[in-house]
Order: sequence, then C-alpha cells, then structure tokens
Amino acid sequence: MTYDDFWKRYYRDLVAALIRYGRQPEDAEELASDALDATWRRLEKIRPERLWAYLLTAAQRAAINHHRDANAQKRDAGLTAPLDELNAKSHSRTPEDEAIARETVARIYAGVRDVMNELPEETRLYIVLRHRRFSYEQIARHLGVRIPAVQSRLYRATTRFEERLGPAPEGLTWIELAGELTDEH
Amino acid sequence: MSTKRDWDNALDTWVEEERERLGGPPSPEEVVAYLSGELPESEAARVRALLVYYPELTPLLTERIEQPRVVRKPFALRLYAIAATAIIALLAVNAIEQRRESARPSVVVSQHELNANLTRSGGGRFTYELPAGRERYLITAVPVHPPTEAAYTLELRRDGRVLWSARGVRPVDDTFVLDVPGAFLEPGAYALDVRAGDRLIERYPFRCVTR
Repeated sequence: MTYDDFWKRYYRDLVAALIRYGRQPEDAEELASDALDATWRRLEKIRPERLWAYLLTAAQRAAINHHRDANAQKRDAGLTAPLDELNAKSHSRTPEDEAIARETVARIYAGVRDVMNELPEETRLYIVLRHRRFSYEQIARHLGVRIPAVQSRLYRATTRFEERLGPAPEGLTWIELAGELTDEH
Repeated sequence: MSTKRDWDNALDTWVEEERERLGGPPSPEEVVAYLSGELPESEAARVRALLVYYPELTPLLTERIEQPRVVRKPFALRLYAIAATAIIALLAVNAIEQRRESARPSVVVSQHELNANLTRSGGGRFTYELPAGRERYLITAVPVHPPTEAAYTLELRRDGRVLWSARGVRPVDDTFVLDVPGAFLEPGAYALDVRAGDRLIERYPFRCVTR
C-alpha cells in the first residue's frame, strides 16, 4: 500500500469518527492528519486488522496531549487557577467565608478520594461513567457487564459516600450523584 | 454547605490523579492489545481504566478492531442484513432501470456485504432478476475486509469456471466494480471472487434469474 492509498483508505473515515466522538471538523481533520502520518511511520509493525483501532487511539491521544499542553501554557501565563480557589472566590467574599469554603472543598475532596480509593475498581469505573451521564445500559455495554450489576454496585457506592460525607449537596442525594435516579439516556 | 459543583470538582480531581497514577493516556499499541484480549489481567485493567478516565478514549471500549465498515454480526443478523441489502439492491435496480430505459446500457447494481465465512453455508442465496437483453452489467461489491493490497483481480465464476475477469483492480470508494458484458450473465448461480495474487480474499455468491 502506498502512502496515498493509505490516506485515501482511512482519512475520511477517521475524520468522520472523530467528529462523531465530539471533535470539531477542523480539529478532526488536523488530528486525523497527524495520526495518519504517525501511523504510517509504524505501519510495518501494525497488523492490518488492528489498524483502525490504532489510528483512532493515535488521534485521540494526540488530542489529549494538545489539550494538556494548552492548559499548561494557560497555567504558566496565569490564565487559570486551581478549582478550589475559584470556588472559594466565587462563593464567598469575606476571609472567613473563603476559609469555610476552602475547608468544605478540602473535606469533600478528601472524602471522595477516600471512598473512591476504597471501592472496587469496577465500581469506580461505573461512577466515573455515570458522572458523565452514561446510562446503565451504556455503562454495561462499554464495560461488558450486566445492567443489574451496574445498578447494584452504584447503589452500594452511594451508601459509602453517605456514610463518609454525610448529607449530599443541597437539592441532590448521593443516589442521584451516583446516578440511581436520573437515568436520562 | 457543599454543592454539586464541589462534588464534580472533587471527582474530576480524583480522576486526574488516577490518570497520572496509571501512567497517562495509553499508547495505541496498548489499546489494540487490550481490544484484542492480549494483555495480562493487571495490564488490561489499567488500560480499561484509562479508557474510562479519558473521555476522548472511552468510545474505543466499544470500537471494533476492524474498520467500522467491517461488521461481524451473528449469523442470523447477517442474514437479515443481507436480505435487507438485497432488497435495497433490487429497488435500486428498478429505480435505475426506470431512469435508464432509453438507449443507454442498463446496469444491475448489487451491493453485497457478504464474507467468505458465509459463503460456505449461504452460497447462492442471493437472487437478482436480470432485465433481458442488456449490453452490460455492473456488479459492485463492498469488501468486508479493509483492502490492503495495491491491486486485486476480480473473477466472475460459474461452476468453478472463470467467465470474466479484470486484473489490477482497486476499490473505488471502498467498492469493487466489475463491468461484465451482458452475454455472460444468464440464469444460474455465480460467484464474484476477489483475489490478491493467488489468494482468494473474498467470495460473493449470487444467483441470477430472468423476469
């Protein structure tokens, strides 16, 4: 296969896939180009039946790296601030309020970290996906498990959060946060 | 009082730390090895977690190893898909015929999505009504396996005998096209073979009947 054939074969499909995954068309074209070039250089080492997954990963990985580099540049330029600082500033005005807000954020983070680290690995994955608004069915499909398994593990996780962190944020319940009641998809 | 945003930030921070702890985005080699089931369990768990923790990579969890066009469906589903494809092809034939009923040569467009595995048990199932007396037919076939060769040979066969062939063929828009003189197609069972050198890459069986 020549370089031109390789491009003709995969460029259009790769751009379409990246757009389907949420990339803007211009970004998708650039990412696809970079991924095709990078993959072409390693083509001999890639089995043909795996080429597509390889290309997709290469393109998405490039996107992650671009994003990380851009964020690092913004941080260096002082254009971003840690989230807890932003929260504290946006939620309160007085030094006392800011201190309370910082303490609250730190307490929640410590609680979330502790619970997440104690949970089985599968459950952590379910929580992260659920937090991104995946339905039970989507989670089950992505991770190759049964829907009831997802539901029961998420339910057990919510009790752990409640035990560790107490009442859920105002207007919500831990069950909702883990996704039990808001299966929107 | 905490807010949902606090929860969001806390979980996002935890995910970021997990990404770093697990070594950052997995390499393409790791992902294809994971999707192929070739990684030991501990490594597979790490790659799977990273595929979840990077939203950009999460769709790969359900991505097939092959090109999207390559669909490995259960046999029954494939039959349904093929039946639907055949119906669409026949409708396309009718539509094309209606538009090209003038002096221009008529064509039969038959879009297959078959594969060699199916051939062994399903050969000859696909029937096309040939309009009589046409000068040429175009037989088109969508390859199941992503084309990787620079060129292919297409062979129209009947009873194992090559009736018509074309060498040095490359798929156009992922589709093989064989232009066959009308005299070579008559009622009976045929196969369109796609070869690379001496290797049979794919075989598309079909049957022709007259109206």
